[in-house]
Amino acid sequence: MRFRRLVQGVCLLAFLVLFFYVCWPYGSRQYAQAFQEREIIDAEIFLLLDPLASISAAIAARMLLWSWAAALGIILLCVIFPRAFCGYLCPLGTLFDGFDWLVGGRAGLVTRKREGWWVNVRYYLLATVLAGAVFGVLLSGFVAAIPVLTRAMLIILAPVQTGLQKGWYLVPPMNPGHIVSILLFALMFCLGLLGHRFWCRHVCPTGALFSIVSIFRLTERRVTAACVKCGKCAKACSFGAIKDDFSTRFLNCTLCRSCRHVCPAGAIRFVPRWSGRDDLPNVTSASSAAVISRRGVLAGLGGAVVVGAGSSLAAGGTSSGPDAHPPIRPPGSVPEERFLQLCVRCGECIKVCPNNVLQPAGFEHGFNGLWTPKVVADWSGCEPSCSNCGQVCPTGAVRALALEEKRAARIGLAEVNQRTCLPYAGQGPCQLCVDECRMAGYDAIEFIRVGGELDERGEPVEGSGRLAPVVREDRCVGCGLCQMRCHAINVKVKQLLNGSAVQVLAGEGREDRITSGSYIVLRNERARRRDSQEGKPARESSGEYLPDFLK
Amino acid sequence: MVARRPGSAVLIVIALSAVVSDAQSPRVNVQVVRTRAEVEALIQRMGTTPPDWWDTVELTYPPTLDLDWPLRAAGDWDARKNVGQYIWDVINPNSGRWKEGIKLVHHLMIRHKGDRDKLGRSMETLGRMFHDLMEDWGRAAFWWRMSMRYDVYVDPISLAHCYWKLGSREMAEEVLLTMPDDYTRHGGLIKLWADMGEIDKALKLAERKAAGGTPTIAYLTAGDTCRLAGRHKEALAYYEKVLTAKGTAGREEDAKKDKARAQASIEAIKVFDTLDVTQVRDGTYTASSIAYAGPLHVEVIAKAGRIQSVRVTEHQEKQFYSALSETPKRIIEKQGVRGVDAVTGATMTSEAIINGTAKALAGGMQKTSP
Repeated sequence: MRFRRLVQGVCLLAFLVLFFYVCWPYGSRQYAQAFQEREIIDAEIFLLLDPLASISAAIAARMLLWSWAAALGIILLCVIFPRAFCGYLCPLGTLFDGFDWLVGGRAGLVTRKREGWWVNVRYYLLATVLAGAVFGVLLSGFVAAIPVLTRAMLIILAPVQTGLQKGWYLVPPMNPGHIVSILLFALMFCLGLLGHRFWCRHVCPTGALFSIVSIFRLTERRVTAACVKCGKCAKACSFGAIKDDFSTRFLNCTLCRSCRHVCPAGAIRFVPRWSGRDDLPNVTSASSAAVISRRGVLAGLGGAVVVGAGSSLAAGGTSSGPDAHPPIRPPGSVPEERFLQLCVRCGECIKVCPNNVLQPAGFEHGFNGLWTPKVVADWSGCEPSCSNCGQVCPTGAVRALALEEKRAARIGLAEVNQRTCLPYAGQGPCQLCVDECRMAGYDAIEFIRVGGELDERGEPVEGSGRLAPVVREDRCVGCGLCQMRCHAINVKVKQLLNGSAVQVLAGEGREDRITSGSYIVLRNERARRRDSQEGKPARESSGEYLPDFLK
Repeated sequence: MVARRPGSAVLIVIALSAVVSDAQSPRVNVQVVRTRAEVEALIQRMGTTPPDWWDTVELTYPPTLDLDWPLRAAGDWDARKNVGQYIWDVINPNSGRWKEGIKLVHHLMIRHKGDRDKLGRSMETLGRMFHDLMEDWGRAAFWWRMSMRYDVYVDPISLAHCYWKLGSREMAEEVLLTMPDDYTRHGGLIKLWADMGEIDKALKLAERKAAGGTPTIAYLTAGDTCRLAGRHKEALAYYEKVLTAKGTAGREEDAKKDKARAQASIEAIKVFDTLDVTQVRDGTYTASSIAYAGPLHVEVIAKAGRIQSVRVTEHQEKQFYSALSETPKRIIEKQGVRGVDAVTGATMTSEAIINGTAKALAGGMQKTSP
């Protein structure tokens, strides 16, 4: 018991440290470095350990993910120690235990005499998630244990961290997506009032996956003839794993050993499956609750088909409007369709993003875009010294890129609005975006003189005209720093504009969305193609600096 | 105060930061001195060899450019087609394109070697670019003098400027003394005399220029001359004259710009040049300045002629936090704002703190005339 609490505590602490300390990229302006120095073990390790996240993403995107290795590892572990993930490792489960101890235990749980239709909800949810994945729609972000937890931490606690450690003005505003996520999380805890670990026991599809793995368990709980039938074990069990005859519902048991701890007769043992045939009572007796009813599975599958098909429709209906600009994704994001299939909406990339450039989308990009990371360039721009988002993505929706690659990966293209931009509109000089882009090292916005005058000889009049910004498409990666500056100064401080005069837009031809390969190579190819399209001949050599006729 | 009028605001910021950066590398006029023979040899040597960056820069230009570069551009303004307008609109405003621009003009010079007029015009342009963009005085002088062989007009003041910068006052004066008055649009003659240390001569020319019908630019250059020489009181008087000047024989637009610059220079002098911490009355002073992401407020406490504390009371920076504590520390150490180095990687935040502190202290200066 004490051992279990220790492991639980260590895991929860590790989770919190990874999420709030390691994924806190501040300290210097070298954000990638700041993060890497803290990341001793993978910051996204708990997300990798949630097998439902990687399995469903892999099915949805029809590709083999390296995170399967972690999933396979934890599944093997859970063959040896059935559902050890739920009983020991899962930080969400530990939080529920804490909640039960803090609130549930004192308030007196709402008692349920009977188990109802809900007992097998987790299997239906698992079926729904997997069926959705088969249809190419990823639903694990809504229900898989760890993504739900990381996102809740992101939306509820990360703003507090930012507010306390950096300043409340740096906390981005909320959107409806935040509210839904908070409600979902609150609901999970409210379920705890119905019984210990209600979520884990009846709802969690990740747990259901482990339950199915438990069919192949190598270890199990046994009750010996010493049992005095006092019923203390059944009361102590948070997972409803003990039947009326005190034998075990093996698919529920997490090997937490709480029952052995309370057993006055020492009648409970945890032994290899193949030993101790003489244990009592007879473990082969049927159990209604733990058996997955055929009807339930069919209903679950039916629901999955409906939800899956519905989501596909919803997804199809998002980017239809010609005015609706697609969201700007993190650098290294795979093509959008695949991105949506791989992104488990865990919010890890958003947490590790300096200055909250990445924020979780609400419903503005449809149901399918909910909680996916998008660049909010009015808020902040993507720092050239950072490639953290790809480093923490558990499924490869955002590729892990080296800094040089990330600086070449286009996430969008800046466009100057010539009707509002101050120099174009003759509203005064401004070079915020040009300076910003130069400081960022892209040098993708330069000046052009507009409104210049010609003298009688047709020569430009010195000093005439104004310097206005122009974006060099061959250099712009869409980081959005320009937009952030224009918004911060011209819109918010000086109130000269209603919106930033330079806007980053994503979409076809403006961004690089590839699943493999180098963005630098891509950029060079683009340059070559452009040269040949413009019919640029190989440059004739201009010859000597000082040709003979001048010597 | 600064935020309300965008036009002047930017100018003030530019003027202030100019002073700040000047302060960082104190303007010590290390003027080389060379004999006429040495300068001639230098021009010849530099002019006939390519600059060190020559082979690292690729010749590049838009495919739409008309490489024939007729002496008079026909049709409407089109920077994508007309070389002169391309240089003016695209090359000149962008320091990153200067070298490729010079390469282009050099390329065109050779392309038109058979056309005397175009050849000369190319050389003159090359000289202008080496002078204006690269501050490469030797090559500028070389190409300008080459172009004169083809009967192209070269601005004598600019050529004199090259001679002066290369170390020959004698050669510079030889050119300048042929010009009794400043007829330039931007007071180039006055500026060069001032640069050469001939303050009285410069001021005399300025007065004559003012009487000649362009008072704003005349007094502005006079003000700049005095400011450069550390004569702040006179500089302020001249700048005031710019502000009150009425009418111009030149362009209206220019006069407007001159006035904005005069205003900015007045602010800069009051805030920076004449700031004397020992003259600040005891008290707490606040001011704000625009930093990276928004306004930044500074509170300065002065006591017994010393800066007791500098504190950033409010800001909206997203990063560069190091500057928020480091810059005030440096200001207190220096007991002033001049010569305070900006924190590396946090230049804008640092400069906002420096500017804010200067403005705050300027508000506490005792009303002794500067």
